[in-house]
Amino acid sequence: MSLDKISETVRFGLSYERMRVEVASYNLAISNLALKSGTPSTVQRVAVPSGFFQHMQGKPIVITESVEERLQVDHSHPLADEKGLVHYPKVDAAKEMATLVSATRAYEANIRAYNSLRAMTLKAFEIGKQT
Amino acid sequence: MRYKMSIDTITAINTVRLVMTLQEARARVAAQNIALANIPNSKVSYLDINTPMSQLRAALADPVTLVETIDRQSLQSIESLVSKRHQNIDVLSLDNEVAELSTASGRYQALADGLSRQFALMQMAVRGGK
Repeated sequence: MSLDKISETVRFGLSYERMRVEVASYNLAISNLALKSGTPSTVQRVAVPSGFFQHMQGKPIVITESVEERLQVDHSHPLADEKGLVHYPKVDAAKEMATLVSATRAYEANIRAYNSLRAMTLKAFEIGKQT
Repeated sequence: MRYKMSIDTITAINTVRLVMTLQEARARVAAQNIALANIPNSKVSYLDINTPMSQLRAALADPVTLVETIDRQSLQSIESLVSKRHQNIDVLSLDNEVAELSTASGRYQALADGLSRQFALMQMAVRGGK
């Protein structure tokens, strides 16, 4: 039963949320990075490994997702094409910021869950202890 | 003739142990829901703690029924009390789950403390009050 391995599930939750923060930060960081000619426009996303829900084990994985390009006219840019257009990945800043906030909150909740479960275990060890 | 008797120490300890098991399961279910809060296609788990608790409360009046209820519930697995809802994880409230976890954790620790005190009293009685 997955509840027996709750600390592993909580650890997965922690690494999943941390990865979401890192990926959202990465996506925001590359939003103003011009793409070289022929480079695909991509962002990163976090996914769960296959079979995760059966065993509640594994590590979150990062997948690459294609997105549209954002075009900006800048003839002086060294990566501008022959029409003077500079290609950027179309990153949804609002979506990434929302991911950043929700992942931070969930990470804190996971830490709280881990600490609470740990406190319960330590308290159980004290049963019958001579004071 | 059925004699009215008070709850003995062993029954009291067993009752506390059973409720501690339920509170621990409650905390684990909340922790699992928190861990899966932002994972797409995950399901929310629910633990029905009200049914066993109301059965225990109803049995408190009669010690014999209480012992039977504790024995029956001790054999029942926690899994049978957990249900997974196929609804979207988006309906999950992270605040509610954290509150649920904190409540369960607090009650578990209070019960463990009570159990420790009970054992301390028993140890004192064994030592002859020394």
